[in-house]
Amino acid sequence: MSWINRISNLFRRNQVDDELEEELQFHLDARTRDNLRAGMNAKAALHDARRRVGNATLAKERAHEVNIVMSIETAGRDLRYALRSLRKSPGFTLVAVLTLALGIGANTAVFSIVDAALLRPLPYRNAHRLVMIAQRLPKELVPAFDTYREFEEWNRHSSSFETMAAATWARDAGAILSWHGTKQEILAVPATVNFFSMLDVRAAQGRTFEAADLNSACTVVLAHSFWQKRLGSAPDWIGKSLTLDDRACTIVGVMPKDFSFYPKQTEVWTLITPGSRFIDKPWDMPVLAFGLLKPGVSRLAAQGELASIQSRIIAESPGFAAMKLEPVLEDLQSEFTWLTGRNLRRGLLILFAVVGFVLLIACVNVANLLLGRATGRQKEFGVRAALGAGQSRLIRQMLTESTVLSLFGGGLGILLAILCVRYVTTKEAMQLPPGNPISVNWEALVFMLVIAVLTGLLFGVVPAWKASRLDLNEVLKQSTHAASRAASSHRTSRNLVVAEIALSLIVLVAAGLLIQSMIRLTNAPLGYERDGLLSSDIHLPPSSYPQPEDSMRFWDRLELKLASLPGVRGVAFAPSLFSGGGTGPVTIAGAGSSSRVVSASDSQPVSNEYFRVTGIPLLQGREFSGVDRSNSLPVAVVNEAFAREFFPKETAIGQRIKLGEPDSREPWLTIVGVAGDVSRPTLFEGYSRDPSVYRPLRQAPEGSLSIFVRTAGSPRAVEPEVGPAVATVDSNLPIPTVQTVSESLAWFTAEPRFRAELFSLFSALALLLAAVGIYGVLSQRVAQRTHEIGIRVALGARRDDLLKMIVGEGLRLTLMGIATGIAGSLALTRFLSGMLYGVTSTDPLTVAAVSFLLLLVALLACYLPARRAMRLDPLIALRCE
Amino acid sequence: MRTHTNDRLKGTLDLLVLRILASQGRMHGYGITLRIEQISGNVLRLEEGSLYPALHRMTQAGWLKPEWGASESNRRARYYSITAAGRRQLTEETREWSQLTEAVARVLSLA
Repeated sequence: MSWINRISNLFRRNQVDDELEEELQFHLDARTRDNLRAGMNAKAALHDARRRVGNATLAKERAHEVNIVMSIETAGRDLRYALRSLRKSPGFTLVAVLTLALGIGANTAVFSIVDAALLRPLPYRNAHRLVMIAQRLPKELVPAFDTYREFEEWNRHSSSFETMAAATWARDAGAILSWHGTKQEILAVPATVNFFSMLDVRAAQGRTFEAADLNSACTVVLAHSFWQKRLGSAPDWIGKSLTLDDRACTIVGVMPKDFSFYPKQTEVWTLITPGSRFIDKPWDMPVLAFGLLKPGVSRLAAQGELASIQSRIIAESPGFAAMKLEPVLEDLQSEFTWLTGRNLRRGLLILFAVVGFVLLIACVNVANLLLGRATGRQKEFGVRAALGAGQSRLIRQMLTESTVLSLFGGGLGILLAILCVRYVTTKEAMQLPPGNPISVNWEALVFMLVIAVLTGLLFGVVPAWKASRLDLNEVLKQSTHAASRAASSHRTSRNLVVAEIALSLIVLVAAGLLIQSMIRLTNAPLGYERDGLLSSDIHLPPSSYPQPEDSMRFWDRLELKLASLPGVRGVAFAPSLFSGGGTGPVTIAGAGSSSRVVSASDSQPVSNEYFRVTGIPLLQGREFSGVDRSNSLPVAVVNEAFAREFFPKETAIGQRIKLGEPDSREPWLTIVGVAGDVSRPTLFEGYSRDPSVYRPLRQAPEGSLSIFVRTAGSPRAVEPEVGPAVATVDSNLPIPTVQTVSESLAWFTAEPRFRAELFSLFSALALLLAAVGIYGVLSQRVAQRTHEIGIRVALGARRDDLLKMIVGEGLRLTLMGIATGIAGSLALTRFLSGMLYGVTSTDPLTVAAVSFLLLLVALLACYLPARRAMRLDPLIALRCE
Repeated sequence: MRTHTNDRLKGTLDLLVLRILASQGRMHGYGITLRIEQISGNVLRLEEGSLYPALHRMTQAGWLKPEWGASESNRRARYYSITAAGRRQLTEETREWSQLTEAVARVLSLA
């Protein structure tokens, strides 16, 4: 009568129920005894006793359940019972809660980020009507800046907007701050007077720009971080002045801590005043226009209006007219996201999907655990059913238990999410768009609650349904044999394992692809030798270097100074290796008068040593040398892409080109050499090798260039010497930041790297959960079949056969899971295609490697229970209940 | 917990239990079951499981007084006896029952 004993387990904590159970047992025993006396056999006697006790309590309970007070009471009882039964198996509870906490925590963290970056409107007034106006070539994805001239004209004539403003972080953004005797470059963003009022944001101290400020020479509004870090949060800065670009600028306000705009690192906003270069040379000043659309005006209509205004004035600048740019309006929020990371939006959404998968895997795991537990608790349920608990009642009880589990998981998950979000925001591990600060807020909390309850139902419903569909007689009759029981729940848990493996495979494939792509992106040959190469940007202020000869003299002296440093093998000056320059027109002299105009990059003025110092190979002809002087024959070196594209049949050497239209006054350049291509990072996580033209620095002097220093040994030894060397040549220049080229490239691979790291983390999590899942199901299976295994061993089954049996079962599940997962990943990884470099989204190698890894992990998870089965002593196994 | 008084079946069970305990004194649940079978000539077949919740409920209402004692076979069993409140309830239920049967009888004789 073991089931009667089980009752006492069930009701141990409850005095009343305890007594009821004893009464019932007494009743059953007495009736059985009387039946025996009446001449029934033992089985019939017991059966009759049970039949007579009957199911009346079930009817009673159902009748009561109509009563709503009763169901609240029931809920309370279910809750207490759930807590009690979870406390009774702390191991199970701990594993389940931790698993769920990981899943729910990751989801809540990613939700907080997605919510702030993509879902919540920007914290400016009328955010939905705010637009950014950039310019775009037809069929080109990359937008370009507007010019101040166009902005002026739009602002004056457009009727689509309530307000328009402009700001710029284009090439000259940044100002030199003189601070306690040193000069530093800071990120200063020039903005028009109504920039802040368009956003309807107020200063935390002082005020933002006003029309009266247009009369002062220089007015600035400080970002909170600048005020805090550079000015030490002193309260009395309003009305004082800072020296920017050798001018005194009056501080009128400090923005609140939460205010941010693109670029997030902006330190000060300077006011564009009538006396500035913006007004003097409006076509030369790149800006971005922003506008608050009037209610009811569509973006497309406004875009059309701006285009027509632009077309009226574009002829003023033949250069711009030739480019045929068109204004495009995008809503500010999506522009912020796009500017922050080309793949940020898609990356975040995919990340969301991946953590969703991890949560699913966690659910599957917990469902498996619950199933296993339910199998162990069948007798408990049987007894409860016998005592009159209805099917719906049992399901509710089970679901209460699983919901309690997932709520605990959710609570712990919130802590995890807060830690994650803090990590992301403080370590700046991830570039996130400006606007909303990221925090685990109420919305995230609600999200967590919803997914906690949903997952509780999701992973609880199958085990609950299974557990409630008991054949009472079956369950109560079983006293020893466990082998046949729960065949159907076993089938369910096998299906769950297959699902789990499939889900893990998809996540692993995604991670594998991203990691490979990141590695290829980092290690792609760039066309120059990046190791042992230092670089630093220098901007010579036109005020101190008005003539081209002045800057040339500076470069010459700097070259001498740097070359004399120990450990320096070579020094060169050239534009940054990373920016390709524009796509200006280039005229190629043809035979006779048949010149043609093509589009190639702007020319790059480089010093004579450039190709040798950077390691760009010279393929034909010669480098620049001392013979190329300002008054000698103007020459050029083109790259391979240029030669291949424009001189496919003949040699490029000796050909003549002109930068600009045929009738421009630019000199004809004779090509004297062909250099190798340089891979320049594009905005889309790839490299471009565009046609480019190099000119000798001496023939095209330039004041803003990068220094390149090739070091003999470690670049670290030379790095700290470069800044002081610049200062000895001109002590008025700000101390430049010196980095190795690899370091400067890091920004470019930062986002793919972070993404790959995140995915690796989540896929490791998925793999771990899947391994635990497989192990759990198989070891449960072995435990259930202990008796059977004992019989097999007793009948002479060899241990090899047993091993084969157990591992074979696991292997079958794994292979099924892998097949399903491959199908799923083929369908899903194409969403990654925009983020991959050098690897296709269906890369067979990745899929194969990941499948193999999963197989290995699964085999290990199979082997441990199998080994336990092999070691079973048949005697103990047979006796085992 | 007066709802069951309108519930004839439960009311009947209560009535029977109270009546039996009033006349027989201390009895355990199984004994009550046997007595009901016996006096009703096996016409009233009780679903025996339902007896115990009823006993529990009547105990909660203060009509019965339970105590543990030794059974005929010398096992621990729970014995119930009727309390003063239980006797009052018995009178009340008996009156209600006779009123009901009287009413039913009148309806039947009219028809």
